Amino acid sequence: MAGSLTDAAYLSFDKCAVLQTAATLSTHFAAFIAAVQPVFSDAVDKDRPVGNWLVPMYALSQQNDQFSLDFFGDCVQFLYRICYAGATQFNLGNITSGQATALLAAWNAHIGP
Amino acid sequence: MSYPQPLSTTPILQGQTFWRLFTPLAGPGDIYESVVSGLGFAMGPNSDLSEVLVTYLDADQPTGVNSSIISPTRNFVGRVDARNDTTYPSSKRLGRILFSPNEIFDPLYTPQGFTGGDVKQLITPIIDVIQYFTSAPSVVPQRSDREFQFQYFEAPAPAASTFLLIPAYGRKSGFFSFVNQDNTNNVTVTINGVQLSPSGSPGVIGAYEQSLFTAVILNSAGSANFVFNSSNNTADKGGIWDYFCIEFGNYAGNAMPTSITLSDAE
Repeated sequence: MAGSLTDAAYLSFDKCAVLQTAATLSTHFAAFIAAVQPVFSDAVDKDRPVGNWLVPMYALSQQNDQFSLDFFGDCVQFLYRICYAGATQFNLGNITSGQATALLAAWNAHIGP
Repeated sequence: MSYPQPLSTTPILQGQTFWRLFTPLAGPGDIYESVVSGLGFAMGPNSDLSEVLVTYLDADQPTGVNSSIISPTRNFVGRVDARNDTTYPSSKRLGRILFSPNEIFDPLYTPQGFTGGDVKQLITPIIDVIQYFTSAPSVVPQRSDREFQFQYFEAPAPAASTFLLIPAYGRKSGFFSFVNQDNTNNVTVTINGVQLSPSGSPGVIGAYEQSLFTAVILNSAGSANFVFNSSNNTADKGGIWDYFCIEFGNYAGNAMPTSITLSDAE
C-alpha cells in the first residue's frame, strides 16, 4: 500500500515485479486502467494531463507480449508517470483531492495491495 | 509555465508554420497534447531531454495507437493527423497527438553521500519539441549547447556539501570550470554521472551514480577545469548520463564562479 501518489510512483517497480512473477501483471494493469478511466474526463482540460496517460497505457495493455521484460518495463514507467502526473497536477491545483485520492485508491487496489 | 500547456492552435491563428512546445517539466509525469495535425516533429534547439515519445492515433495498428521516439539524431517526417473527430479505442480520448518524456526524471533524487546538513540544488529539465505544419526539414541539426553560469549556491551546514544536479540527457561532451573565491575555506569539487531510475523510495535506490573525475580540492582563489567526453572509456570516465551531480564539499556560501557547457558534439 502506498500512502501518497509519489510513494506509489516509486513503489511501482517493486509491486509490478511481484505481479509479474505471479503472471498477473497484465490483468492488474488492465484493471487499474479501467478504474482510473472514469476519474479523468477527456472533456475537462485540467483532467487531461493525467488522463492522457491512459492512451499509451491502454495500448500497452492490449499487446500480446505480456510476459516480456519490455512489457514489464513499460508498465513500471507508465505507472510511475501517471502517479507522478496525479501528484503534480494536484499540487498545481488542476485536479481535485477526490481525483487524486481515487487515483491512489486504484493503484492501491490493483497494483500495490 | 508547464500547465496550462501552450496551445497548439495559437501558431495557426498567427500564421506560423510550426508549433513549439518549450517548457520546463512540471514533473516526471508530464504529458502534452496537440490538437493540430503536423507534417513533421523534431527536438527543439534548447531541449534538455534527448528523447520524446510522440503518440498518435493509427488505424493500422491493432490497438489503434502508434508512437515514435524523436531525438536530436532522429526527427519524424511525415503527416500525422490530430483526430479531433474520433477517439482512441477504449481509452475514449480524442485522437490528439501526445508528447511525453521518454527519459526518467526524478525530482526527489538524493545524491550518493547526501547527509542531513547537505543541500541539493536541481535544475529542472526543459522539453523543447517542434511540430511542423509545412514540410519539415529532413535533416535536423543537433541541439544547441547548454550553458550554465553560477556565482553562488545555497550554503549547507558547516563542513557539509552542496550538491548541484544539472540535466545531461544525451549530451556527449562537457566543459566544467570552477573558481573558489572563498578566502578561508577549501572546497572539494567532485563530478559524478547519474543514471536515474523509477524504482525504489526517493533516493539512490535503483539509480546509479559514478565518479567521472578525481575530486579536486580548491583552496582560496584556486580553480579547476574538467573536460567530459562520452566516448572516453579510460577508467570508466565516459558514458551517457541523465544528470551530472557536482558536489561542493565544505562549501560555505561564498562566491564560487562556475561555468558548465554541455554539447551534443563529441
